[in-house]
Amino acid sequence: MEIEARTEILKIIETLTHSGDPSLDEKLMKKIKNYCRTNNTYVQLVYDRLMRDVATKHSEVRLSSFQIIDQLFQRSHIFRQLVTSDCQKLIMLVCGVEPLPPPRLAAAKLKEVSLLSFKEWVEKYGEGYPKLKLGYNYLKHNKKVDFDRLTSSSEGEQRRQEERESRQRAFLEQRLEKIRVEMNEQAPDIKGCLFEMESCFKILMPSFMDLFPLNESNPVSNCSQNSTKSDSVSAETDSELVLKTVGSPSSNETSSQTGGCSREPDDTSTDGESESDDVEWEEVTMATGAINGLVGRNPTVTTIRVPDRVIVNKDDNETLIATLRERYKLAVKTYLPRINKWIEWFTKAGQEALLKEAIDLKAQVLAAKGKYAELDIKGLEQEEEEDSSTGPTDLAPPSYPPDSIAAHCSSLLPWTTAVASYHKTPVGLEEDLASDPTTPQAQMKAKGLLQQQSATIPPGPAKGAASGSSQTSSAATVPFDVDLLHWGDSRQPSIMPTAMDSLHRYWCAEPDLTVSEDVMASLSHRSITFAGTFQPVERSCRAPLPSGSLCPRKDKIKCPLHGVIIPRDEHGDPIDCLEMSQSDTVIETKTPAAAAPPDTPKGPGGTKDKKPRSKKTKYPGLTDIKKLEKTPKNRIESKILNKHVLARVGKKLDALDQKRGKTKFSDNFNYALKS
Amino acid sequence: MIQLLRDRRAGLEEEWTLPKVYATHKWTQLSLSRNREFERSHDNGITSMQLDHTSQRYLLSGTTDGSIFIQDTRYQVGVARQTCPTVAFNRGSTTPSSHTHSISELKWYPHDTGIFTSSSMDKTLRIWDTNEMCVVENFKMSTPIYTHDLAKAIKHTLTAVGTKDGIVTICDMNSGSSSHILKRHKKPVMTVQWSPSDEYTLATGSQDNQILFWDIRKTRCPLVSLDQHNGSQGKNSTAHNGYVLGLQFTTDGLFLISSGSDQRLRLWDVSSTSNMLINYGRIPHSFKNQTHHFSLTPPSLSFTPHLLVPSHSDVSIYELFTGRNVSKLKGHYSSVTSIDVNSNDIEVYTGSTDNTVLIWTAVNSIELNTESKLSRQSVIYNDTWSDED
Repeated sequence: MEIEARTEILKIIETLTHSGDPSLDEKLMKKIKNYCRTNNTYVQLVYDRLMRDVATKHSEVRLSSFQIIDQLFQRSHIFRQLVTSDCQKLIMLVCGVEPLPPPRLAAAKLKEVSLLSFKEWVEKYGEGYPKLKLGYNYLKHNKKVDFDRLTSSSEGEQRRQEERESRQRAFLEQRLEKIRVEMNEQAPDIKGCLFEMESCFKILMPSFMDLFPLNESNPVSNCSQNSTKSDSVSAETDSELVLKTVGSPSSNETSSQTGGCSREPDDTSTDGESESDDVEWEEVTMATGAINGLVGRNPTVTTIRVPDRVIVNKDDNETLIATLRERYKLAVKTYLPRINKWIEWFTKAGQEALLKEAIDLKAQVLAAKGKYAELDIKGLEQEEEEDSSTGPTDLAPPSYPPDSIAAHCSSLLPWTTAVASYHKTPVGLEEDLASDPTTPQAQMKAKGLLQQQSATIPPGPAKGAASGSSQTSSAATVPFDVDLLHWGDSRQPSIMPTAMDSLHRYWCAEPDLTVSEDVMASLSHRSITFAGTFQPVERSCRAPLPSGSLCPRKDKIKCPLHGVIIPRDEHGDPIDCLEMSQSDTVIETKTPAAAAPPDTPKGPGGTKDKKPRSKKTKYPGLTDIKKLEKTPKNRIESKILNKHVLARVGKKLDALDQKRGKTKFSDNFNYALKS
Repeated sequence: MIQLLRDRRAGLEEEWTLPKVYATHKWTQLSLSRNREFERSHDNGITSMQLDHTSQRYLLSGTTDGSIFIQDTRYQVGVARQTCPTVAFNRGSTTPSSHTHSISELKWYPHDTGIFTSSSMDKTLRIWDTNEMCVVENFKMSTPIYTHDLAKAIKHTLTAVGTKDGIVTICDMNSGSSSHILKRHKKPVMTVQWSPSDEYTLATGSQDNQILFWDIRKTRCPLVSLDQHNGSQGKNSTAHNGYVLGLQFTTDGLFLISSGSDQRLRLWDVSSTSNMLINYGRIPHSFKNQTHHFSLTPPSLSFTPHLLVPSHSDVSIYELFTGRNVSKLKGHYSSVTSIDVNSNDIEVYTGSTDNTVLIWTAVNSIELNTESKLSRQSVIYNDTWSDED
């Protein structure tokens, strides 16, 4: 009877502790309690068994065991005595003083539950069991367990946390300060930019008004000085305007600008030169750079706006639009993201005033952006219209996209920017460019080289740039270089080597003026490394893995684990049986008793098919810790950091070292003796 | 015991036998005191402790941060729950006189509680005035001090100081300077102990595995080096197969107990300087560069002396002459570093690196009876099985 009871108790405890459930089975628990109630020797038995379970390296088992301990602790005095007599061990195993075993979830719960119970125990029984109090004090003072919040993090951890927080705070403050300074510095810039844009809008708006005549009392600007002017502009006739505006800016503007302004009307008559002068003018305004410069521009635009001189007008507008576009780009591409970033930081730091300021700025920029978007379309349309209306004129500069205007303007400098413009020109424009004698295209055309400029495609289909435009668009391009200059030249390009004259007066050897073959070759040839194109591997290995899935590796020819990649069906079985039978003959002869069908899924590399082992786990409820440890990292680690592998590699490296020592320092006695 | 009582009544036994046998029995029943505890004042691990010899009342304890505490252990009659208060303290690194490094050894002056000495890893040995809690003399050494001991002699007031460089310096409190050095150990000296019977004899133990006996009047060479094999294994005499970490004379000075990092205890006969070859078994501890303090039960309270040896977080009690492990005191949460016995009562104080000093007493059973009368206590000790289960 006694023995039966004992075995039953042990069995119940085992099922309870190895159930893996986060809560205990009430029925079984009642049974244990009943046993313990009848006889104190059972309590001792239960205690011994539980202490053994609590020491298991599995947090789920520990949790269940501790829950039983907790329940019995509340009931039995003997049990309490037993527990408190070896309180240290229990605390070490349960409270997370030492790292708890996996699984992590259960460990965290165990820690929480145990600390909570300990607190309860001490409150209830602390007076009677001094060791319990000692344990509590130990946890509280030495292990820094905060029983009020029940967070048991070590002192170091807490300190680290605090440090991290303070560091973060300091960083945020520093960052904020930096941003504040940055904003203070840049806010005027941004405002200036916005103001410039605004001015541009103001200037452009009336011009549209005039080109597409609307009612003249359009509200144009806010600036008092400008408004008076524009009002006067709209009121008076054009001829009068010329006089007036030329007269008025001189009173309040710098001499250079007035010079520029006054020169402008003269230039309008000679269209060919207008562009260069315009650039100059642009530079002047940019140099003075100020807002009033642009304000000063106001009269020039309005004066030039004579209905029958559209081209000039357009020309002038273009620079204006360019300026506007530049500002717009600056505002949208540079300032807007920056302001967004500021707003983000201010929100993070909770800085209300600064945030407000930043948001105001953003709103302004967005407003300007919206205005530009509205305007820009009109402006572009207008430009296009003007293009069509003016028609092809030989002397008119080609209609470059406005953003390359700077490059275009500087194309007046003959060679340096030629390459740049060559890169930039869209394919469709080549003919235009070729017609321009100043462009390199024209030069090349003169040499009959334009056809071959797309060097990588065979010369056959590329008869003309216009006819083969579809091909040229897909063709690879190479930058222009000396070899292209000499392309197809039957004559060897000549080089005049210059001697590096030494400056001293004494005799020196005749300088070698021959040019090496390599240099000559580099004049007419160019080597372009062709690496081919990357072709992604489509099919995966798909050999069946022991886990039941298929091998996901994608190799070109051979999987390092499963051998040559062969076609397989959806189960990972190889489709081509011929290949299979060849590789499997060896195995089959070895294991003829294995009554497997001939096309059983066996790896082509000769890996044996593992029979699904029906290994019954002892405790199905528990989480398998060993499985948790089977991470890819561990697996690779066990292979790479294997003792034997390390030894082998070490040996090899040593041998290499020795060899090197022998060959290099064999005369050194130290090495000679060692090897 | 009954037999003994009968014998005593018949006059067969001497007068002192009965209480001593009773007390000896009590040593095996030590348990954590239920109603007495020390005030919680240590913030760091305790490294050294000593109860004063004269009144057996004040407990001196030092910690790893150089703090020194004096606590009153007097038993207050009629108080149910008693806390032994801290009567004086000096926090490490707070005043110019306080130690900056870990305390390695604290000793009361043997004849008076007015003076105590402290040695520390900051290379100083300090003599303190207890009442003022200030340093009156400061001996500076060239290397960290591991241990020191005050002579219980009457004719001189010498202090032996064991340092890391293997030199034992003899400091004279009268002159306030070191009188001479004893140089033989090749490795740090871990423990020094004056003989209670011969005031010029000094025993030193070191990390070179040797225990040397010195006559301090003759400093050129030690008197003898103790050999664990009693000379049977060649000339090289070693006392332990590891560092010698602790030494303790019996009160009569006839025997010496040594402890080593080989986790063994050895009992030596001082008169013949031979190993008594008593097997105490393995006493696991993790001391390496720290003096292993252990304690003997006072002869006035024990029929046969018992040895209280810290072993990790427990204290093992051995019978001195048989090596039998009598019991184990469990209660600390990390290794016990110091221990002292109150020879007035059957009471043991242990200090540990878990910052606590615990009181172990043998009279709990009596208290328990009185306590159990209290209703509140009875609730705690009662079983509470519910009928629902």
